[in-house]
Amino acid sequence: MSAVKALQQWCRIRCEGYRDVSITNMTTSFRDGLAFCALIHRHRPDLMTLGLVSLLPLVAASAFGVAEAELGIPALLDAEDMVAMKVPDRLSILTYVSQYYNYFHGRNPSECLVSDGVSPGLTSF
Amino acid sequence: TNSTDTTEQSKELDQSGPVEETPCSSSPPNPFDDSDEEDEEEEEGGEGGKEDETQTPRICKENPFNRKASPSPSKSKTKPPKGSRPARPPAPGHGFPLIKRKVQSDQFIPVEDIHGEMSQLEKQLDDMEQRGVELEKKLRDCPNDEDEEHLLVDWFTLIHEKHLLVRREAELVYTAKQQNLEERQADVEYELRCLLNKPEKDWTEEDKNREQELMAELVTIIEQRNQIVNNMDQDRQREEEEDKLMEAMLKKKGQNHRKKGAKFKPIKVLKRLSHKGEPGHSRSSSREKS
Repeated sequence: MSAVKALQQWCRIRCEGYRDVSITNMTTSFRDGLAFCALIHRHRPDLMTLGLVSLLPLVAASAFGVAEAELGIPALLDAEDMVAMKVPDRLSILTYVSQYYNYFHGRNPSECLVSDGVSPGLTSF
Repeated sequence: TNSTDTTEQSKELDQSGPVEETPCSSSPPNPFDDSDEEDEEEEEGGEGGKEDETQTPRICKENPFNRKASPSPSKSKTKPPKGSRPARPPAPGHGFPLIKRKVQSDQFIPVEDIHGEMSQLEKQLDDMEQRGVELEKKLRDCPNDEDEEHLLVDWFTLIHEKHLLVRREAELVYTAKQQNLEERQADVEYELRCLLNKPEKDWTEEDKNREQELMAELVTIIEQRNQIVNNMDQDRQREEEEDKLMEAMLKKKGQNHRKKGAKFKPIKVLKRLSHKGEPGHSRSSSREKS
């Protein structure tokens, strides 16, 4: 499997179960920022509050902010730009997601949310 | 910390008679010799650097050296008098020789070396920055998926290498901090020992207060050292995890038939990565490696 495919696969699996998050590519699937929220919440539910009402740019921004402040992953992406661009910058997304992978891979993701069958909704917004 | 070891050593050195034959370090002339008159008076039993010149060298695990005592509100009036050589009057109280031990880890790095390596690392990081810019350009101009795959491997490898250097920088900063704390600890312990050498019944109010201060400071120093050690451990763990990523990335096979994303203004991705993980950031903020 190619590096990109592997990373995408990882994202897909990690984001499974989160409403309105569907990873089918490394660009538009990440555009609204929900995927990043899901990734963070999957591994660190303490850092990400689900169910917040929010405008799209802010959703992404909150994930970027949390990742930077709590995980030390600098925001390579700009939330406003993400939304403004029809297709976000793939290289940036790849690089940014790889940082998430670096951070979370090998740590125990929180399984509790998905195992009880309830699909956690990031968009009870 | 190996304070227990030293305490035991101190006990070994305790002699009932005159303390002139304290088995002290045969260490080379002490680079930290501050030539502070008052301090030499404190060094009742300890062999300071200067005094070594006139003594026959002895073997000892301790490395005493003249240092200024950590700041105290006022000098105690009851400092043990400096003995005349070679016979020394016994230390007041218990006859414990007042040796300042060196609190040092095995991997001591002189400050100049730290600075040297840091600037070297900076240069290497600049080079990588350059390579990153070129690589990024290639990636964005890349016409086909096969080339992109290769370039991406290079890209992630470069990022990983950069992480390693930044981590090394962080390690050096930690080391510098540790060593600084170790010096302070030696000073505080030494002053405490001077104080404790005095029989408690003779303690003044000032002595009691000073002892409290010193103990508190000692605890703080040790806590800070522990925190640094913990941070270093965490960083090392992350490094291992990143290595796994590299493995996974390099184990790829097959093609990636993705559609290329739209072109975007060059944002110098690698450069952005370098705005984090500044050494010295606390764990709660950015502690990631570039």
